[in-house]
Amino acid sequence: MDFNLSPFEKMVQKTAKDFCEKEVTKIDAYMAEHKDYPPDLLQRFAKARLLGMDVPKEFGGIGSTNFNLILFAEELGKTGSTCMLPFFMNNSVAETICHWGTEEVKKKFVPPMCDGSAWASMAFTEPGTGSDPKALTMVAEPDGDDFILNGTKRFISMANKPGYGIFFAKDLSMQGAKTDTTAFIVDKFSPGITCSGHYELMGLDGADTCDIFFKDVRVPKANILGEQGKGFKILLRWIAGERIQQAAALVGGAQGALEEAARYSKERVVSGFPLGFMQGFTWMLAEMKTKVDASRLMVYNAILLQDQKKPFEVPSAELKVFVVPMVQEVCRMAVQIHGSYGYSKEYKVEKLFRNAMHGGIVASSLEINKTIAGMAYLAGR
Amino acid sequence: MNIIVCIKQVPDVTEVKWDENGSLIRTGLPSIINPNDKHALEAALALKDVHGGTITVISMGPPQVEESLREALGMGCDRAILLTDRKFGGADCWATAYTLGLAIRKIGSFDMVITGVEAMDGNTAQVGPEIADFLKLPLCSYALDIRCEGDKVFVLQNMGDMVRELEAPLPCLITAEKELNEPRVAPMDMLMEAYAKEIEIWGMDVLDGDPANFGLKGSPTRLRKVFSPKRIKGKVEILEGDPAESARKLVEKFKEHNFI
Amino acid sequence: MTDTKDFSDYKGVWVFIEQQEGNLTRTTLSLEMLGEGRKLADKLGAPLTAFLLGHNVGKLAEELILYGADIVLLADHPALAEYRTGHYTDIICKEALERKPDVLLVGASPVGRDLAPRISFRLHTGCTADCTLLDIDEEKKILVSTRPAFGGNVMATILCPDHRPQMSTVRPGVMDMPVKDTARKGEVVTLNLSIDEAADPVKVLSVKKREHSGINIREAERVVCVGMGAGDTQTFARLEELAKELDAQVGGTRPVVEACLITHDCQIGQTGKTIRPELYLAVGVSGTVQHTTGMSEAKTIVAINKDAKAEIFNFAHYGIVGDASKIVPALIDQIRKAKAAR
Repeated sequence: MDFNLSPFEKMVQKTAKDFCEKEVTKIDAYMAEHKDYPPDLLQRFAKARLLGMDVPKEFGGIGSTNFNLILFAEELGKTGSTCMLPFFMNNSVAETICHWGTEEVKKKFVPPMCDGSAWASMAFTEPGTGSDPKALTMVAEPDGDDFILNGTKRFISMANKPGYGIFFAKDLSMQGAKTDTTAFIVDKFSPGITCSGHYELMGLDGADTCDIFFKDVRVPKANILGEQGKGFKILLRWIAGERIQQAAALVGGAQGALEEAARYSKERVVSGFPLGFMQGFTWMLAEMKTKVDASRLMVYNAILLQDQKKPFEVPSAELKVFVVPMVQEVCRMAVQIHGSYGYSKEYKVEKLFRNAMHGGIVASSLEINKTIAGMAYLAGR
Repeated sequence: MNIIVCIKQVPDVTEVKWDENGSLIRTGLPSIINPNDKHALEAALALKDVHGGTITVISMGPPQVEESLREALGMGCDRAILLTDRKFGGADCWATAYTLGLAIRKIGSFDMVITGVEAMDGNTAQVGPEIADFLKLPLCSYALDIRCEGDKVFVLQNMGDMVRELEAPLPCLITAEKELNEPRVAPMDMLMEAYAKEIEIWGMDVLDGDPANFGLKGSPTRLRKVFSPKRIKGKVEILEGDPAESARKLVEKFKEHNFI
Repeated sequence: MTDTKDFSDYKGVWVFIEQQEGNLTRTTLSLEMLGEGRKLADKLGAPLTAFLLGHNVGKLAEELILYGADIVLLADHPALAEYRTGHYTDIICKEALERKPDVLLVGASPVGRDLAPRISFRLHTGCTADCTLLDIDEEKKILVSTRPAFGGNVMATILCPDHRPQMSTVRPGVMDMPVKDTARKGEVVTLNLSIDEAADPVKVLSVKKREHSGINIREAERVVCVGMGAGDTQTFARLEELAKELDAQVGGTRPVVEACLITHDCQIGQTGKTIRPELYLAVGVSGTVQHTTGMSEAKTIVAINKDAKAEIFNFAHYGIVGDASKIVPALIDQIRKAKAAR
């Protein structure tokens, strides 16, 4: 399918491929050995001016579009590299702060996320809740010009890396109000903060997803993002954008799986014929290719709405509904085509399959998105 | 430091394919900046990072070379000039060096000219040194390392099994080896600016030259023919005999192919 | 097209002789040039001139006559002890303008590839680079040069009909060496030189031996690939020897890497590297698709395997069916014999 990209957009794709070849291969080699991100990871992205892509220049960004960001996202997803997580996080958290923050907040926290000196995190999930703000157990108690935060967050990416995270807590000073979740920007190395070790996940090898524990952590009032009590809105908006980036990476992974499967189908010979010429396999490849192309179209549609500053929450939810099962199936079929080789860790499709499985879980579950999309459709939105 | 970099757009010969008759399929190959020239660009950019200044990138070729010039601007070059004219077509090394040399002369003042050692398609490695002789610039070829100090440059020159350290005054011409550096990824902000910049287009009339010296007409060498070396896939020639005899036959084949 | 010019006053084949510290460099390039120059000179019925630049190289000049030169132009000066891009070009061009050679050949070493294009530009003539075949057109009595192009995927035949001298640089290791004839006579012409140091502002500060860092099998022009059929310690050791004789890198198939004989960065195949060397010698390799996808585009593929039906023979240009443990030592032997005979 020809998506009619402009010469500039084609050059962005070429540059993305170049970046993956030059930088991501090195990053992955480090991660395979050390099971963690290389300490200079963000600098490598920052050097190529890939952080703060949709952040204005005055705050250290490059004032580009989200479309260019997902052209990169797809290439990163194709490599199967876990380094896409910090790439997304730094970009989306910086943009979120730019959207909701006061001038002081923007000036303080956005530039370090764009120049790679701060690792960004987004922390809502707790042991007891992944999506319900009423069930939050992290509390924020007012104390003069500060708040004291106590509680636990779970499965937080880059929790143990220096930088800033947006933490969502039950604001005790807002008791009685309709909503009482406040978003705080916290220096992750503040006194009182400790982290657990990494969770070992099914996919996204080396991702440092941890629990983070707050014990009497003092956070200045000035670090509140947006309006007190109205923090959940911030999370929802962030998730809507994050879903699109994630979907783009998933499409990239599926594209990678598709290409691997096609290559294998041409090389593997059974009864004198390349595998791909056997009807069953030709059909599989046709299904896989169309699923990937259709998913990509939906991603492009959603991202263009976001760039045009039109409402995109529902299209982004619909993305999850369609794209996640599609790419998971494509990756599964790719493994199947490879036979025993696909089940072996030596072949790429095995990793792409495991990575694809996070799509229905991370950054809002598939089911929640079905609810959002279904309800919106019924309500005529 | 004002640096001029000469680049060439080439078909990606690593992607070359053969048809059933053993003939080369030359169409449909993606076009890229010649790999050695990317190292030349990176060398200029690295010098600019340290010393400041401007980088002008020039290339001779058909209009589609514009894409490569944009890529070079995206890496961080400041100015791009495309030398394009039907009359430049069919140029051999001499005429190409003449054309590029005239363009460099027209650009005026510069501290250094950097080119790649050789192009991936022609593999002659001649144009760089020819431009140096034309413009009477000190030549430091096969650079493995470049270091500037004041108005001098120190170059480590790759002479095969030896390395020479050269010292030359500026302005000079340097040809870049692939071991010189690792070309940077074009940063996104530069890439965005690159597409907003104007690429200057210069034809023969802009250059102050003798019309007889351009293009095919101006090329002292003439191509008589091009042919593909014999590649018979799937028809292996089995060399018979006991180990000593078959080994001897194989060595004869090695000699034929110049492996010994 | 141009009308045929009259170049009858251009006579003789010149060959640039590269030397280092008074020796004909570590390779046999200069002698190969003389051998080829002699052949062309004979075909043209013209004298062969060797152009020698350096310092204290008089003895060498005499040697060159014994290897086939009729005349040796000798430029002997302290400033020329090391190759100097400016001085060498100036001297050769000055003599060429005066003496008018018909053909000028330079070896395509790093020195030659720096020098030849400069000469060709200044003399406004054509130079065909990196030739693997030279001949004289019987009818037109002009030089016909053939060279690889397009990354080595095609061969091009090139002429320089309307300019003189006709120049070519010649790929090392291709041409035949001449036989030394101790009875040969010739003339050494010592050139009068006035070298102005300022004329070549490029100074040579030091010359050191180059240290090669690491193996990159992708860059290797020649590869010897070890398969499980040649994986026993004895044969493996001889394969390393063979690789040395052929100036090749050693690679391996996946099972060989698993057996820890070769490191993973030299693994060739689907889960290793894909390479396109000039010469690929597969020893004891069966040729499964996982492996052949990594090397099927090599220019010349040679396979040695016990099994005549092995898949690898469908990819090879040349093959020997037999026991690697016997063939490899025989091959080493034959190669050494061939090298000694030169």
